[in-house]
Amino acid sequence: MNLTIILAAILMVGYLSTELLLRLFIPRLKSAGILGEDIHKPDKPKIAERGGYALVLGIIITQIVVSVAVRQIQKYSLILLCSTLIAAIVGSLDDMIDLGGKLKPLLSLLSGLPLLTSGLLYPRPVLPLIGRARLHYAYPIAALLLPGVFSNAINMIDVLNGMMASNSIIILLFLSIISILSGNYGGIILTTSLLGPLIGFYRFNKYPAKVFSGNVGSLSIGSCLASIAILGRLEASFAIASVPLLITGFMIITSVGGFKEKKEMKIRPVEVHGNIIKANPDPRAPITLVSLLTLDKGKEEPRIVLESNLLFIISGILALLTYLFLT
Amino acid sequence: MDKGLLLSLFLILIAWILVISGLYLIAEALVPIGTQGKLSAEIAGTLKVIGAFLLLGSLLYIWFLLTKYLVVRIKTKS
Repeated sequence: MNLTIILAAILMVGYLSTELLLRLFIPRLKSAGILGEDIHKPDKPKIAERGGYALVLGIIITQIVVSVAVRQIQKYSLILLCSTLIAAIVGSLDDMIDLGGKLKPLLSLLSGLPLLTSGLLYPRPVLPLIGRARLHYAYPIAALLLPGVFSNAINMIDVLNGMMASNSIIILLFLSIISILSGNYGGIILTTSLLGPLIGFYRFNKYPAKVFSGNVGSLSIGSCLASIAILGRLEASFAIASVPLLITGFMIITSVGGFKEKKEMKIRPVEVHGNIIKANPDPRAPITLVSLLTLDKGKEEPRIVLESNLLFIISGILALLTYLFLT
Repeated sequence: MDKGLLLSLFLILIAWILVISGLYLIAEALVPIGTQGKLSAEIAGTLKVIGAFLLLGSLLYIWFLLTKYLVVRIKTKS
């Protein structure tokens, strides 16, 4: 079958299934009282929480379609699914019983196990300035750690309406472009398979949000993204395209002194005055991507999300330039 | 001029350089391990890896201190 038709079908299945599921889930989550407060709005409305379940179901449906339609990457698709499901279970547990700032990152490392035990790892990634490297020992360790690390990094940027979904979409778009340029068939299919569900989710999560993903959604997306990078052999491009994620994760961990939940932070990174979000003037406040963008002047939520998207686009361009000129 | 956005862009550029050089350093240091078989080469390789990680860790810490300094400076001026 023509690759363009396969990609369009995968995109449509992912998008439509997630959109349909969210239409079903949102009223039910509201009536079940599963609500979260949108703290960045003046009236602090209650929004349906844990919409990530619909997102995960959308990913499951898409991966089943991929494994049936594209036999060559069937195993990759199933391993990707296993890794995402483990992260979803950890996220779901955290949503229900609050695992705490240390246990959650520790348990989310389990999502790397399917990759490690799959036998599909190829420890010869293409790296900038080096070309194809041989990383017999380090690569399996990295493959084990990365899904957990990125699920927590994505969790850290899931703070404003539409931010996590739009930033992830930008990363995936650039990975798709690099896959197309390098003729990486598996990479193109795998990146497209997550794009559909994310676009479907973004429709409901963008400002003003009708649904939040919950930890179940953000941890799953992070794990799925990292698994796509490893299974699709896009490791270096992914590392560069997701630099704002790494900055946020590193800054939060170093400035708050370890893994801490939002409610465990004594000083909030930002202050909210009506519609305006501004970095907390306290020099001891944790540094996050949002506080960096609102350092000298307060901004409205959509503007901050737009600027974060700009940062991810620049990182994506750097990833593309690195692939074209340094690899 | 939006100092927050400019600082974020600056941090991304520095992080890009760090990622590329970090991948290069670690990959270069890791190559001898498991490919030469001799114990001396394995030990030398392991030391190189530890050195590469220490160097990267130090660079990351300097990067963090620089960021914190710039953040506090912008906060106190605005």
